[in-house]
Amino acid sequence: MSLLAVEDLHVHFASRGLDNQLRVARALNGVSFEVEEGEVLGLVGETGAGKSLTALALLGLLQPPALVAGGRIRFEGRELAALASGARDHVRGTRLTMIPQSPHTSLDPLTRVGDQLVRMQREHRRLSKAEAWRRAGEMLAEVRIPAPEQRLRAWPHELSGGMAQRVLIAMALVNQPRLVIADEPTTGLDVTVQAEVLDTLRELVRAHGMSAIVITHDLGIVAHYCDRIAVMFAGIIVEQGPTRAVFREQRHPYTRALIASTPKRIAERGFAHVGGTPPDLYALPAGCLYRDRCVQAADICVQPPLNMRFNQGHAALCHFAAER
Amino acid sequence: MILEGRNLVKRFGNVHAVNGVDITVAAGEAVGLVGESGSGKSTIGMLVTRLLPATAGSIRFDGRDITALPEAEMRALRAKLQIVFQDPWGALNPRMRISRALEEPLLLHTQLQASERASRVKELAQKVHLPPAVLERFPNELSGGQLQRVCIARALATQPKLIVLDEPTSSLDLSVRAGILQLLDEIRRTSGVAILFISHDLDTVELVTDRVLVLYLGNVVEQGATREIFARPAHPYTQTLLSANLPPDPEAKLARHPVIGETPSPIDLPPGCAFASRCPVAIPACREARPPAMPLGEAHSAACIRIAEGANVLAS
Repeated sequence: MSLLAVEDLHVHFASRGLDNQLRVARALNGVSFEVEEGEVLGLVGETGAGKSLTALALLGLLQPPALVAGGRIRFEGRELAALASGARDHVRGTRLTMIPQSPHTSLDPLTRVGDQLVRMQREHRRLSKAEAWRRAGEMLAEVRIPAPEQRLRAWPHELSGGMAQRVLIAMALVNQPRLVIADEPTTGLDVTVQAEVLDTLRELVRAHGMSAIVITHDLGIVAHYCDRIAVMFAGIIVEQGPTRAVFREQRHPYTRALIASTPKRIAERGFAHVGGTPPDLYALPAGCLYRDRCVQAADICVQPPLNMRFNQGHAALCHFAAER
Repeated sequence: MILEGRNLVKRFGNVHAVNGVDITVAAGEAVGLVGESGSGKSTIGMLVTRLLPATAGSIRFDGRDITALPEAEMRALRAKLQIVFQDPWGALNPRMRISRALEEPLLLHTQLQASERASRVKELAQKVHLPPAVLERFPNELSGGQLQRVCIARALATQPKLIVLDEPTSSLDLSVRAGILQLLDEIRRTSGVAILFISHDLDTVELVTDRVLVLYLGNVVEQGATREIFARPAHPYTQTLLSANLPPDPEAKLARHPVIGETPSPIDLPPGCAFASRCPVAIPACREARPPAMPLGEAHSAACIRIAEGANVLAS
């Protein structure tokens, strides 16, 4: 059984327009994927594809007007939606945690780093302050912050971007979760710092046998740090599979276009015509959501595509996925 | 040379942002400025366009010394020296229709009649592949990629000789970014405009530029032909930087050179090589005096004294 199994997840945003008509934006349209024990999944896609929204839905952090309109999220064998809010709080924070993006706005500016780590532990476990403080120091050492004992007393504004991101990793991991969701964990960090932070994250995930979902738009991060990749477009996963298999052979035209638009590929093979606007979430077309941008679109694409399955869990949502 | 900056220095209070940088851009050339945050790359873009006054040094543009040119004369010159910023949402007046935003430089810098301006605006939109309907819209009705195309069209309106592009694709999605890069490529081939391309994205710089300057804490640590630098980086910092790049290919082998410690503060810069405190091959002499640029080949040089003994190459 998978650690996490998401099945046909739908999230809608409901609002009233100026004419008082109810308008529904269909932001997630049947997201299904699984994360196995010890696996790192990379979730990629363009702005508005629903990557962060998927994370928020997993954590049960959606606020109106967003609502889960359908689907199931099973984590460690339990249906998350069925849990009482107290039990869900406990899962979120001890079993399932998140590393948010933008390190500096995610730390409490008025609390010392050590106290934030203590708070995180004592919220969820019976533990003396001294014990939690000691564990906080160990955790800072684990995320390779130099002079951890002194850094416990630091204020967030005294930290560099890379250091602040390491503190957030420490906070997400201090309660030894089974699954950590990292939402753009290195966006805004310098290249050299990014590599170090990702190395640290990977080492810790491996050392503690955790699983991770890394949300990113950087295909380089997926290529080198993720075991599997899931590509999102307009609130649905259009292709997923083992990273190497997907980079070797893309089964969905959107994945193909995405990889073709990296500067490295452009340098090798020239410009491919890609791009275009995402579909209107208030008026999604029937059939394949990508068809207006697709170079391969044909008459059949007005029918909803089936999820075609290939080796090793490689799957793509395209009528033509089986063609080479 | 279309642009020639000599010994450029910029201080913000006691922050040493740019510390004696020489930079040249030839007509039609695309030069890249790469470096991490705090390396001074954006500041240099602001200095050479005279959007910020230099603390010291000189700037020549199109054969003229513009270091201390009065603002009134500078204004006329700006037609030929344009800049495109990172954030297209912030760079356009939200209350101005796109047609008006494109017309404005023509009003400022040309004697064209209204009807000529209107047709020129249409041409510009076409040049950057914007549908004509976009011209009647306001910025909030456009996507990020479309807005950046407007900014590029606006920069092109007065047929400049040099465009400074400061992280023009950093805020855009991958597929949109590819479209902008393709547009820049087209513009270079058709108009012959020179480009100063500022970016922290190494893959993009490698794709777009002919020549590249690598910056660290306000100093040029290495420069040369883009192909040469990416193939044979000589300065330990360039080697470290390039090794941290993650190519979008899981089969690509990474040979990471770890970085030691943190970047020194630009308030209290060390006297010698700014990278010495983090450099695995530094020797005491590195900390004593600022290293001179050592020639490595045609127009390729790196500011590292260890090159002389061949000890600059990091073990992988």
